Amino acid sequence: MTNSISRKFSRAAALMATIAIGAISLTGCASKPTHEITVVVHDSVVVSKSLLNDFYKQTGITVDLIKAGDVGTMTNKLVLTKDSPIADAVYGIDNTFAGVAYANKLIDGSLTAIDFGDVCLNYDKTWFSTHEQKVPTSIDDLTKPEFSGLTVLENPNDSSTGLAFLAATVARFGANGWQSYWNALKNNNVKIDSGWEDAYYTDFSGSSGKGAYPIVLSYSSSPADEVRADGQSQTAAVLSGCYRQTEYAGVLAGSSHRADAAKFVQFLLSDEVQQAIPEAMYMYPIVTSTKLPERWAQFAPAAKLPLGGNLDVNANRATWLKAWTAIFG
Amino acid sequence: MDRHLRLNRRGWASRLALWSAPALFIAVLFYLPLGSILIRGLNSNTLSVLATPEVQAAIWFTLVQAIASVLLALLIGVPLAYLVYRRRFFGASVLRNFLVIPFVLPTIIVVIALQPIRILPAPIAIVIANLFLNLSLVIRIVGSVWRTIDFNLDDAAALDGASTFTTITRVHLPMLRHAISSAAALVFLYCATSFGIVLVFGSPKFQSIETETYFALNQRLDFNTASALAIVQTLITLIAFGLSSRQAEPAIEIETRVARRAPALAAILASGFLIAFFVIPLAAILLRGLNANALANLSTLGSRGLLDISVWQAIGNSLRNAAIAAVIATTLGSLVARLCAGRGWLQSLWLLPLGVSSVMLGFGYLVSFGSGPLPLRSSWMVIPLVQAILATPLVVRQVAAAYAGIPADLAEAAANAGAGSWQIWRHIEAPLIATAIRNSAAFALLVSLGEFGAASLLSFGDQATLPVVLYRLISRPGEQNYSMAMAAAALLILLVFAVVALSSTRIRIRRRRAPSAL
Repeated sequence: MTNSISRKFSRAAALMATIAIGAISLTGCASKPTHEITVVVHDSVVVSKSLLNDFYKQTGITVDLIKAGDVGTMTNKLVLTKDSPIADAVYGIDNTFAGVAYANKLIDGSLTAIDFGDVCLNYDKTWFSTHEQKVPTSIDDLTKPEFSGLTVLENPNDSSTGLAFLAATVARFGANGWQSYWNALKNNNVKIDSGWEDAYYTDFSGSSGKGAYPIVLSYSSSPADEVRADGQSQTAAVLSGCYRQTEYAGVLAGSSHRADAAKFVQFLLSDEVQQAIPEAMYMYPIVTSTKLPERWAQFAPAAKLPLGGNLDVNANRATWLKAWTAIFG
Repeated sequence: MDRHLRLNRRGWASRLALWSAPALFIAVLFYLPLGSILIRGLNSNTLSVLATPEVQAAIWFTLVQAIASVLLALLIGVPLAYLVYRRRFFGASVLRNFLVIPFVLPTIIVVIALQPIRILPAPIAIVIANLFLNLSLVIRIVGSVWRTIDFNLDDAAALDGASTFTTITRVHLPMLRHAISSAAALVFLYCATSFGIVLVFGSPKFQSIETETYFALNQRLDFNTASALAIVQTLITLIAFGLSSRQAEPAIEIETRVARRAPALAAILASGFLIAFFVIPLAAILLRGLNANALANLSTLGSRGLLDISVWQAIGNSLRNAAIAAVIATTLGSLVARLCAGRGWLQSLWLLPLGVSSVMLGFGYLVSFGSGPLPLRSSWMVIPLVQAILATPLVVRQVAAAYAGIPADLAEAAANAGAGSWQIWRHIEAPLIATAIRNSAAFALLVSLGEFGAASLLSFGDQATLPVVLYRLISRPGEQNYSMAMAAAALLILLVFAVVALSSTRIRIRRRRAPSAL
């Protein structure tokens, strides 16, 4: 009897062991065939299938894009997985997170700038004209009583747009003055959303969500996407007090397909990709000679004097976020 | 007492073999990753981290929302348990069957079903969402014990002139003490470790230990804070866990006579509340999601290519993961329950994953299995394995309870009659615990299907699971994404219904057969 038990159960145990070993050995064959690379991007990056097909035709390299959350989440995931990277290249790390990438030696060589965007306040022109109210002209306006309860911003802890604006306020009001600006914003009933999508598409009155807030933290390019039947944009950007986000691509240090990955980074600078960037991602191409879409030229000029270019966001992020959270927490 | 469970002494080699699978499993896939992340973050700063305002706020908010949820769940759940389980009214048995559902629904579904309450202040919305998930647990745990209290006691009390209310407070409630405290502790446990609900409803102002851990690691790479929080969470849940394991004596169903009819008004109010609270939000998702347009969108990647894979592929991933996780958890969990019968303390080694943050475990996997001898992280198996770890405690608990319910004299009699251990297992224990194993397999399947915390950290690219895809869809407003989220949520609800229906049909067949097996 005992023998029969032990045999039965040993068999069960052996089966489990086999499953476990099988599971482990499956992981051993995860590496890709030669000309296939994985590129990790943040959630807002769009590289169309036809562009990837062109790249394949030119180089014979197949590209697998994977989205890994917002810029911060993506960068931190790359840090946490750098021992065996989840990808061969990254596209979309911006200047606020480039420092994290370098400090953790994520990148083989250096990052290449691909596109940029200006984080600016947007306002709903229709709302301001129907309410016969003066439109905001700088970030200083937001603390004035007439703009009370009109603004929706993004949480800098969760949103790169929010962090960019926080950096702009540090640049504008100084290391000792920005907290009082934010206190004034809080007293002026500003709404804080977790992400840009919530703020722009749900709470902003000038976009598809038709929300209750006529001022939103978005991009200088956003008005190009709100052109109505009359050929005019319903919204406009406040071009003073903007923060410039530059997005980079780079080859990941742990990749075993670095040459192929580098070709992809070069491809992102090609004319066809650069021309597609505005419509696909609402960013400006980094190659200045690239022709912009017509609506962009008309409704979405970039900021002339963006703020905060000299700030070390990476070094200050924790301190800023802590102080910001103390105000809004 | 557990003589019949002990294997023959000569079988030590086989015993070793038996122990090795579950021991290796829990040691390598749970204690190793957890330990490595704790070691990484534990240092001289840990104590000072605990004193920071964000960490304290997260700890307090976790406790406050969990306690508030427990109190509300008891306040509403105990009277409902009385009506639905102790009294008789039209539809009571349908309600009893339906109440299995809310507790096993994936959190992401609850989040979607309760979107309208986002206009409420965050703490209230969180408590309501917790109630949605846990109310049925209170009703079922308390109700099923209440049902077994001898009706003759009521008659005796009535003869002494006691009103129904007095009978309940003086006679029933003292007898229900263990059931109520065990339900309370379980609800506390689930509320204190819930991730998705606080993530969606609490943001940005209210963080729990679990979400603060997530942000500390995901946004700031702050291992110190994460480890400190993980230790606090583990302590809190261990305490709740200790309380919840002091379970009521296993109830033996003796329905000596038919329950009394419930007052019509109370019955209408109770069913009305349960339908309004549970059925309408779920029906709304089904109505919105199950139309050709929305379903057609499921093969797309969302607006502006939000997803890496279509929802159909995500459903495939989820089904595959859940099936594997359920098989592993059921096999090993049942084995642990049998090996540890009568050794509760040893068993808790496999129960601990219940109290540890799935987010923390996910990060443990990222850190421990990135490279080295076990590069699990880059394999698709990582998600079913971590989900198996998270589901195992549930199996152990259910099957161990079933073992505890086997009358010892039955096995003793068999042993005296010369039956060997294997015969005793095959002919006496196995039929008695079969229902528990089947139930817990279904439960493990459902838990893995809905698991969100670990999958949100560990699934990359084409390995996204259905809850992860759903979260992405609802975090991105827009018509197409919204309709896709509704359709995907509707399918997930139907999947849960199907699993519950399948597992309960089987139980009914088993019950009918059970007397002849005895």
